[in-house]
Amino acid sequence: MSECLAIENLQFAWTDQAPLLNLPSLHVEQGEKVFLQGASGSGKTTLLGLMGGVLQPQQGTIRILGHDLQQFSQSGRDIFRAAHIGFIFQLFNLLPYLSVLDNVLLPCRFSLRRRERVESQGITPTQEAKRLLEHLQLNPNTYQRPVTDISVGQQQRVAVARALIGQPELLMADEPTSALDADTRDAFIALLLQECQITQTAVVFVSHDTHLAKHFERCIRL
Amino acid sequence: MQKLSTLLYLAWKSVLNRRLAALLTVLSIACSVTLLLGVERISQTARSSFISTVAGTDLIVGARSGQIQLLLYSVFRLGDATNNIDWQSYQKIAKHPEITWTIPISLGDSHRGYRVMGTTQDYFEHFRYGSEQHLQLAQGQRFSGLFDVVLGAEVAQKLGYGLGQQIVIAHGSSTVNTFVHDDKPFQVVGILQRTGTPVDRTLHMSLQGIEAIHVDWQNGAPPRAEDSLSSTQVSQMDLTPKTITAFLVGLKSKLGIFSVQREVNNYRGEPLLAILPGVALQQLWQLIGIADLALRVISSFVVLVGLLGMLTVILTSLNERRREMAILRSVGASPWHIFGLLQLEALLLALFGCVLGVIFLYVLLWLAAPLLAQHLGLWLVFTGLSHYDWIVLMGIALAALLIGILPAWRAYHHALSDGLTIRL
Repeated sequence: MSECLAIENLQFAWTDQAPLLNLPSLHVEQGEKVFLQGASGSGKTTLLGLMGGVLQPQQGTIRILGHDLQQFSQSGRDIFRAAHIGFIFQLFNLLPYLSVLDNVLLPCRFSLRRRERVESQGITPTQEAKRLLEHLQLNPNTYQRPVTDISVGQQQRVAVARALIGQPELLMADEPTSALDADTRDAFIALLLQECQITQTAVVFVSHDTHLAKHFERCIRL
Repeated sequence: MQKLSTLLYLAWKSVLNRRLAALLTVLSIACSVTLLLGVERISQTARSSFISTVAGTDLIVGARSGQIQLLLYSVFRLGDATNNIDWQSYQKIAKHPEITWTIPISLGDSHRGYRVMGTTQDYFEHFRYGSEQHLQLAQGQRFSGLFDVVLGAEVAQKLGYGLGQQIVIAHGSSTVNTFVHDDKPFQVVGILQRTGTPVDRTLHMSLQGIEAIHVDWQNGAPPRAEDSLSSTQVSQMDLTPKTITAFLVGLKSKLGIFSVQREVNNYRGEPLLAILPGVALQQLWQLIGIADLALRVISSFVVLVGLLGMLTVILTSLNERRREMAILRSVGASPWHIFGLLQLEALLLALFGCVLGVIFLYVLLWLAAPLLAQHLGLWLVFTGLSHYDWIVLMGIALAALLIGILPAWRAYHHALSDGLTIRL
């Protein structure tokens, strides 16, 4: 298996503050499922920002699929992120003024590459979005509804569908289960990992909750 | 193009999501647009109505004074003539081979604040206004007898006069009249249709009628009781006027205007002045056009206020929308997309404001047209958007984009500093 994500000697500090993040090395293979455990304030979210190319490290390199993010321009990083990385956040993943389906379709609107990957399978982005939502056990009668009408657990599954549409190589999840209760939490993670298994998407799952580590192949502490 | 349509779609959905604030913003822009375009419409109409107070008249001749003064008293019945024209001079000039018709007018008396004008039948034949319209009688007929009077529409309406009404004429133009020609009452024989010009505020009678009420006067003072003549006595006399105040001239050909004008101005018998009514009207309009300019400046500021309202609405929405921006960033939007999104939002609000404003304008014009015609004699013409209107509308859209740079720039910086982290 080839390398998906490689981090070396990474250091980051918000302006005028002590280094928040100091990560000597982190490697994730393609299709690998990694659990990144860290307490609140340990810089988990910042790390996601760095890996997404939205924040710039003061030191070190981040390579994704063999590309050094520092080599890209700002807009180059935006295009690269849109094409290869899917994100799921803790809460409020969705645009409140779009329907469930339109939220899922967003990456295909911003990334030509992700739209093309869907279309290369001979289906339209809308068909693919519906397929993903169905796989994630969302009731078809919710697809056209505003996202504010559905429960938090359903919203998080919509966020998974959006992160996975167009088969990005890497999925980054930032405490996506913190708002869910224990039962739905495990079911959610199982569903997420199962979907990623099908598409061979690597997963970096960030959480403070050590109980969740059992779902993953590898656990790294920050 | 794909990105633009995506941003347009998102901007539209986002605006819809905040529809109350957006609607109020659009309404305030629409009202300001209506005001700005409406002021322009009405001032255009007022201007063209003003300029066409006299039409088809090539020259106006009066005693030598200022061009605008002559225009004011001969056409607008404002102010008084400094001097009169000798009847002989008038006769002489009227015979000029280039001249087709003349309308002599004699001013100086009034009735309850409305000016009385002595003239001839030629007035009904040749006087034109607006787009070359002739005067039309609404009721009755032209004056023919010595003591007949034809009222302008406003005079009849405001004073409540009908045909057969007996009226007396006051000497001079002051509303507080000391001398009243009450020994020689006039009878209303006709009422003119409304023209929207000073004709509506004038009482018309024959030159002989004017002469008749003054014939027994001595040196500008009313006759003593024993010298005064009765109406019947007067009608036996020769009532050819000795002087007139001014006369309007129609020429055979427009080409003759300047040569006739020159000849009148160089007339040896007495100092006269001939003016081109169109030129004088333009000049006068430029004087009163200051008010017009002031209105336009004020309405431009109202538009600015409308746009600043939009700025406030967008700026205050920015903080609560940082999360929205972070989500967009995570699905692949660049900070420039965020910038464009907010610019499009400003543009959308302004465009809807413009469209709604234009709709308001036409509804308002449609409602106001009968009132303006009735009360001010302004005839609104329903035309499409003029070149000027389009420039104004595009100017507003451009201004919205310029003003929109501020929130867009702030959102751009939020997008850069927040990244995917939503710090609230």
